[in-house]
Amino acid sequence: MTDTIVAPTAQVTPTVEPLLRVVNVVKHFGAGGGASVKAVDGVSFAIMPGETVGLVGESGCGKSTLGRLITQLIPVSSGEVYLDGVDITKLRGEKLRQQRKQLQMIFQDPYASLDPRMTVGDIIAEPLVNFAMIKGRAKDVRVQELLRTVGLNPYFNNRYPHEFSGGQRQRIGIARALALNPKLIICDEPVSALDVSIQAQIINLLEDLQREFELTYLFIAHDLSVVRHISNRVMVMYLGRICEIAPSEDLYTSQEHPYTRALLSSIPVPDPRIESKRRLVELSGEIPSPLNPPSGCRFHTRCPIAQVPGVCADVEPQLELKGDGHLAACHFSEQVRTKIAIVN
Amino acid sequence: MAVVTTPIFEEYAGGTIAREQVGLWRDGFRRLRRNRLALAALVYLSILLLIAIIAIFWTPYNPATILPNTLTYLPPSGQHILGTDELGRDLLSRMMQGAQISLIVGVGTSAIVLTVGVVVGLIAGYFRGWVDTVISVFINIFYGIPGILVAIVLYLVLGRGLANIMIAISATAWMDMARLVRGQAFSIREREYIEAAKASGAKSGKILFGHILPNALGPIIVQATFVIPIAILTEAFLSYLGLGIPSPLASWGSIASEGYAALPLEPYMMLWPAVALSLTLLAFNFFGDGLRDAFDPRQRR
Amino acid sequence: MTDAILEVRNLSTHFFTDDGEVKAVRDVSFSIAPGETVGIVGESGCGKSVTAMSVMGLVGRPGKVVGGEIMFRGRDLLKLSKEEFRNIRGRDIAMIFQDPLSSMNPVLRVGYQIDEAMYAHDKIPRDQVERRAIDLLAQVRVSDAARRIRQFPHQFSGGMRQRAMIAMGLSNKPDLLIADEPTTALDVTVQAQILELLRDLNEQTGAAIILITHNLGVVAGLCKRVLVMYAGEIVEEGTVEQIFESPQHPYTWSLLRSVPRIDARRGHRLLSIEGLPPDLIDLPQGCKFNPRCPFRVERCFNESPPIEQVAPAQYAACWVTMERAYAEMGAGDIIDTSPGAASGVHPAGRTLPAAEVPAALAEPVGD
Repeated sequence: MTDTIVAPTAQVTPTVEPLLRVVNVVKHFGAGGGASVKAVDGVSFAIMPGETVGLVGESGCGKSTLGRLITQLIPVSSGEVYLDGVDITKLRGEKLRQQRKQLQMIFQDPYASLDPRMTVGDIIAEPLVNFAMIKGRAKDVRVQELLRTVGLNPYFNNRYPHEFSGGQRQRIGIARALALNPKLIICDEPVSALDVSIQAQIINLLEDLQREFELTYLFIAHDLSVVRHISNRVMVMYLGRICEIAPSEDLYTSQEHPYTRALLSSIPVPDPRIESKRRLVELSGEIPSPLNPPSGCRFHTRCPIAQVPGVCADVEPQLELKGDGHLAACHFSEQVRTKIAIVN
Repeated sequence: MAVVTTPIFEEYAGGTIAREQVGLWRDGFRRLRRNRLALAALVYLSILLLIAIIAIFWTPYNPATILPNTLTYLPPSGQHILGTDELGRDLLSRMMQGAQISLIVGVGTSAIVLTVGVVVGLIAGYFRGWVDTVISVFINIFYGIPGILVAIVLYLVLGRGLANIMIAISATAWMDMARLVRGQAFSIREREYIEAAKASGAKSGKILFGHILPNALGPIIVQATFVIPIAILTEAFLSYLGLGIPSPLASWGSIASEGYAALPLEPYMMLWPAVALSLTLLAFNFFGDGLRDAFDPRQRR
Repeated sequence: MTDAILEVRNLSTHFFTDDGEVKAVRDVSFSIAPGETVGIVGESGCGKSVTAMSVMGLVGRPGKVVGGEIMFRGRDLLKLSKEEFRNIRGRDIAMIFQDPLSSMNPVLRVGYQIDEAMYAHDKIPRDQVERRAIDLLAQVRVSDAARRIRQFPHQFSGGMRQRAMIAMGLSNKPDLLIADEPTTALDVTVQAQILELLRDLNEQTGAAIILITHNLGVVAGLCKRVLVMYAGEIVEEGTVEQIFESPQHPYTWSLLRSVPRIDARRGHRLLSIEGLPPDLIDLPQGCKFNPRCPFRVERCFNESPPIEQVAPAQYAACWVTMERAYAEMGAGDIIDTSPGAASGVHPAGRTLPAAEVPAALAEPVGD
């Protein structure tokens, strides 16, 4: 296993403690016959207060599992998750429940994440009721205030979720996440189920709320353009591990991991002139099964610059500092930009 | 009436909700209303219920007393609309009391089944693990034994009485309900809104009874409706065997049994309970089907 | 355009539901030249898929094509018998769908399903079918095609399945391939590969492609011409350069500014299109985009704008057009994107006394 790398804290003012520190978190799901799916396999990072950190990766890379491990919706196999200095993986029962006040989640599917039998007011008030924080008239006032905060008509509090559009439902989910004044919100693909024009509304809302309530976000999505837009830093995940962490400004110009570069080359840009020059980094083969990830660097089976046989197939690269706040797990990161062309 | 000439998007995002939509329950009732067969069944059942209620306060004659100066096995007449039985008791009065007994047994059994089945099913489906294994194994063992046999043995052990007959029928009938609820809990607990409830600090009890149960209610109600005719039939069968309701209480089953003995003398006595029983069972089944079409989400368009 | 292989004229398709008549596609006209790549862009419910289904003759109850003509090589498809239509569908016009898993039969081998598509139409000589299936799979870059052809759909990954679907679509050498969100269910790296494949196939086989998508980037990479749909109508049409560089309809313009771009400088705010698309049962008066448009004027509330030429080969259905919005309304520095935000708008568009809002809002939604 890796040693605990929490380097990102180094580049910010050292006196500020990270709000969230994830240390070597592992989640293995049993897959029958003694085999296990290594969904998240040794992930470490930190999030500073007020920051937005993006987490991207393709389906099956473990990004959603990681989000649920942090919120303790599923227990970790090993590793620690420190929220404000407290290791929440060691908490059980009531203590864990109390911790949820700090840590809320926005879900991907605005149709599935709201209980269809509850009114919008009850949905938003649920966290408040669960912690017996507020009752009666004060509760209604708070619910209406939250509805107004997320841009919805406060008089809709006694309506049912199915009466709302996808974007409006996602606003309801956001209001619910805000109800407890959490410090950290995990956004799990909050806009990917929405239409293009509605995505912008929700992204702007999340940005406004962050400013207003000094929120910290972990923003999980498969769309690198969206993630880069909203995040200060972006983490790229491949097959259960983080392969690169980069400040968003750097990401488009300098990539230190071949997978990030390939990912970037795949993203279509709404500009025909750029599109005609864009060159796709073709990855050979398919994503290997997380049941049996490749030896050494997990990406070596598809990497255009891997040395196989050689160090890439034998030694698992660790996240190392490659630039200012820029980490990558690659043996040949200096060759990424020279050897892999993404423009014709 | 303020007339809004321009759409109001300024103040709130997507200020209006799309079109006025009906609630999930109301949508179900709307579909139920369109089902003629279910509606006819509902009308019949309402009349039956009315008769059973009237029977509490009034019957043409006392159904239990042997009427003086009355012949046995009278055919229908102005005085005794459905005739009289082998002891000269008024059959209409006895049939009315039978309706009462049938409904009490049907609804009572259904209530017991509902309570036990829902609680056991929810626990098995939500907590899973060894609790679920124990419950499932228990249910599967009993599935191999005919329910009627269990009911007869248990009823004989418990002794005669209206309450005991319901308990005896429930002894096996709750298992179907528990299986259904378990399956529902299994699938609902994987939905994202359950995860969302957990993330917002809901305790297990709240998740079980506040989220899972309300969302499983449609199929549960449908299943509970189907328990009623089964219970009525079982009671009638027990009474027919002479094991059921102690006399002089009248049950459709016992009237039919007595009527069968007197078939060559008086065919009507067998006819009335047979017709009433058939119609009631049909009505409950049609109504249950209607409810299923209206409320079971799997049937949704 | 007389040499078009497909010409759709005034197509209208409605759905007759319990809640009312959903006017999903209204008065849509466009044409496709042989070998052309055309994108139809829009959000869900804009009618782009229903348009494609209408062309394929796949609109089923409660939907119905209520008007218009669909001319394919000079013949109106709507006037054909079911049998004649079936002969064209899958043979001369092929379609690939968003979800390749549900559009393939799980219990039949992939090769068999490709063969079947060819046997059904007798366009390919029977003795060549099996050979061609392998060639097709190789052509869509499925490695080890001869072995893969004997596998079942579940043994294929998502990207591979979509390749097999494309192979099936191409098997009868169609003149027109309609791809309905072919990459939406796929990861970006796979999406890029499929798009490159479609581009190559267009060049190699000369089949025209209609690409239906909500993703503007995908269109920019593959298509030469673009149709933008909103609320069941085509609101703008032009070459890919025109649409992306000088869009004239405010919807196109806003849409382009509402998506985050990977190459953009960071820190800028996305332009959001406020509000929701209209209810297709109860459409607004005038321009269907007017409730959300920052540049609307008085006329937009009452009169529906016809689609008119705004530049060579570019058409837009707008009373204002972006050229005027830039010149007169300061569209260049607009930040507030709420409806009617730009200067020179309909006066009733912006100001609504705050006190009236709750009453007005409570009203249209009341039971």
